[in-house]
Amino acid sequence: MSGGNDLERLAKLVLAGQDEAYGQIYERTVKDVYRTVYYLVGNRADTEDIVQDSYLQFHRSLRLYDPSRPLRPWLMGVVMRQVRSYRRGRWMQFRFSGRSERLHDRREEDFSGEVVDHLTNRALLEGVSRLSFKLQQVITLHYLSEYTQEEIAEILDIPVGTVKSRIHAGLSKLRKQYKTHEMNGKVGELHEI
Amino acid sequence: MKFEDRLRKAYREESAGVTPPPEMKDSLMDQIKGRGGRMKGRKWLMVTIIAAAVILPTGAYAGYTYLADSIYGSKQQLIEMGGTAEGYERLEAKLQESRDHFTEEEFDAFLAVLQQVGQFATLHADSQGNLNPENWSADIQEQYAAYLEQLEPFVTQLEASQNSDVPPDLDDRNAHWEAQLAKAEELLTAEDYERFTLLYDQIRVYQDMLTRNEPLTDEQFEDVKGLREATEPYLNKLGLSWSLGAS
Repeated sequence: MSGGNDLERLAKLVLAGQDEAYGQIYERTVKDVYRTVYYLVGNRADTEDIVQDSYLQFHRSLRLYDPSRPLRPWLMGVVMRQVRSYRRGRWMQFRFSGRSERLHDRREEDFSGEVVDHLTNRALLEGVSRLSFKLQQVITLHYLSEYTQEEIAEILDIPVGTVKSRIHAGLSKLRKQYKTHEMNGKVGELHEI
Repeated sequence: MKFEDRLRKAYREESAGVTPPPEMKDSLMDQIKGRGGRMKGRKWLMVTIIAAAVILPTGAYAGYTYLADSIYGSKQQLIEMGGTAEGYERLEAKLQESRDHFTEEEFDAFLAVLQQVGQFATLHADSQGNLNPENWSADIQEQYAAYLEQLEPFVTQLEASQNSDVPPDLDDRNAHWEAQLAKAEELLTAEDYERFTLLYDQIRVYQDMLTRNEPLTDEQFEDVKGLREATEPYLNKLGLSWSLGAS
């Protein structure tokens, strides 16, 4: 992944009062952050809000950052806490029943598009979105953002063993979903893709 | 192909078009330098509105599914005019979000003004689709100012529900709650009403914590789940439901 020691150097500049360096940190990390949040949340409007809040929070807490540690996982830890607060907040809202369905439809449509039955990339990622959130999180961080298991442990503040077992459980469930697809003859042309 | 590689490839290919809107950086930097409010407030709204209005087909359009179609004609049309499918989806999401903050009549009126601004923009935007009021004659600038004035009440109303440190969904919740409280008192027995408000008050304590950016502990979140369950029968009677299923 991009960044390397540069990000840590930029963080020091931000702490020294150079706001422009923060812009550079943003440029180098936002694509990765945005995609990760998008695949965990499933729609762009909420993704934009969460990403923005995350960078504000990250800026506020930067003075707590230890520049001898890699910056990307630290930033992603802030992001994951924002996603978690967002999800918990959503648990506490109610809506008019009709409206709730409409929003749900939109979310699904936005995320999976019209092709669901065919075994495409989208179907595979749709499978990920059906996993429990804890499994989704490690699968997304590992296979989309390509964080190592150790980094994910740091991001989520859980033991590496737990990360391993969650990745393993997530993959087994995804493989199982695929088998079902294959048996139902909905595989399409997996091996050609 | 190994399953894990297949998964990586799916993410790589599908995420290629998932990119943050370019204007987000400016908004963020403004806030960090203490110059602006949250992007989802007025500034973001004006960006969206102007973006929505910049390219507008003047021709008639047939019935549409997407709200954004009423501004751009269709996704295809926007793409032909140099827009992106992604921009279109984003606008659609924002419009849908605004709809939740208006009555039906208000929203129709809001779209109508957007359409007018869009027609204006088609005539006066430069070849890149940007509006440059400083290059216009006084007449045109005046027209532009008049449109902005027409948009003002809608922006103010949206701002009231979006431009705060409270996530928009929580604001939404407050509005719903206030509106439904009277109805609850009417529809529920006095005993149910009391029990319902008691439960909901407990949930609000947690909501307020999140609003202040205080994370909930796992125990507190379990408590929320229990409260949700207990509240469900009352919500059903009021024609409300929790916005997420209990999964």
